[in-house]
Amino acid sequence: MKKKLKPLTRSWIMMSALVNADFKLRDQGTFLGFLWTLLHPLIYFIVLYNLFVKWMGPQINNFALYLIIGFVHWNFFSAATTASITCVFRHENYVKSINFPKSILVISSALSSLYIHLLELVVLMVFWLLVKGSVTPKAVLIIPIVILTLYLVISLSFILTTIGVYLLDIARIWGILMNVGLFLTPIFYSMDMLSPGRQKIILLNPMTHIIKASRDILIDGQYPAMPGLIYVFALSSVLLITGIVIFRRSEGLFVERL
Amino acid sequence: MKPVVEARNISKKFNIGSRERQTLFSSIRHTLSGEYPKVELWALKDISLYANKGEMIAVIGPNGSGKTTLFRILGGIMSPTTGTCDVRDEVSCIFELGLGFNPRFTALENVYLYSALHGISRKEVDKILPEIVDFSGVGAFMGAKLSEFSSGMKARLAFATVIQTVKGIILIDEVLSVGDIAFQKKCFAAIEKLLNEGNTILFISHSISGEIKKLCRKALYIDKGNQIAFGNAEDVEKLYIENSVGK
Repeated sequence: MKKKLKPLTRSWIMMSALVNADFKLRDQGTFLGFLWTLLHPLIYFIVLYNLFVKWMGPQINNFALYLIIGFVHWNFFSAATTASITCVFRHENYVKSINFPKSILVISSALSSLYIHLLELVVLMVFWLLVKGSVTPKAVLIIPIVILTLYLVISLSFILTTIGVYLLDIARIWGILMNVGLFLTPIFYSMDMLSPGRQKIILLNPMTHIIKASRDILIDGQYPAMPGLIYVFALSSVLLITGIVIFRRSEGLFVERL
Repeated sequence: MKPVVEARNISKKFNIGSRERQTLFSSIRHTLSGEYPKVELWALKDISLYANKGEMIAVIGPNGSGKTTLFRILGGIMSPTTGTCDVRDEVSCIFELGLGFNPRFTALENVYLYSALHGISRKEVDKILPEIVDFSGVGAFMGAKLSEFSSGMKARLAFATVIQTVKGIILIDEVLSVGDIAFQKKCFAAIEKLLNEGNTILFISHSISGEIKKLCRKALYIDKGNQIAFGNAEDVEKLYIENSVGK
């Protein structure tokens, strides 16, 4: 038993070191450095808020909070999946010089993005407190939502990482998809502004359900609607199985592609 | 007792050209037209070697002879196209000195990071840290950023970390020649200690010089992927030198 656990511990040690180093390098490990990371969603938020508050404000309850919740979640999804495409290349030296399960790279890349996401969520919660002025215990439900988002991100990452090793321009393609996705997710508009046919398309987007659930919890103080979240879970599971199958078949060949 | 490393008839083929990543359009074009830019290269052909526990073996040969590819296969980083490779102990690969070293981290942070890449926890590093510091001779500068180090200091720190953390079958790719004479002496003593503790060392070199000669009894000589000789280190090296000078 002890021998079986050893590779797992080794992987864990390596993974946490990678996440840690990534974080330290990004912002020099300082609090003020972290403000740079926050600036990106903040600027988006300010621009979108000022652009749309006149149209959406009267129709959407608590538009500022509505917008920021949508944007913080989308930002995590977009940043994490984009980072996964290049994760093998960013650690080219390791792949060439040591033998280790390459899935460590995928998971540590997702966890690095999660790190930033959690910090953004802290800022979001402060903002939420200021706007709402009171705390509901239901807010803890945001934790399973974050875990579900991470599950979706990791599942997709296995597929994207594998494609990324073989196809040079997947980063470009994914960048375009993420830009389109920003508009195909109800971040700064609400679902009922769209025709029923268009609503159906938007409902296929897993991020729609994740963002809606977070808003149900934080803005309306309600339990999130389960069918949507079950859809996200099922979709992620299918992606994960697909991802792991293609990843395992090709991970041994990664080194020959670098 | 069975040898700890046993490679039988290892061959490795690379497809040059397809190795490059393609763009979406070029891959569609190649799939449709059926032509694929492909040149086959046999980097290794029929290589066999074995190493017993506690042995030190040199792999020599000119540049581009497939030495690094062979080590990647022994280290489990690549799989051979044909042939089998049995490795019956933990493997430590030292292919790049200071792997993962980052100039923006302090020397100490780099030691932790490097060790973590090899699955060694902070706690375990703390136990051997005094030896690493002592061996590298970096001393008071452990808290300094690596970018402030001279290249010699960096190499010594890297080597000190490596030598204190490896065990089992140790594969070393041309990193043995760092540091000044005094440091070389220390390295030699450390290698001798590793061998006495029952570790096995395989290393890539262009020559089996000086003190290493006393420890290294066997050598493998490969050229352009072909096995030229495997056996007594002195004889094999002699052959290598004759062949190289003769050209």
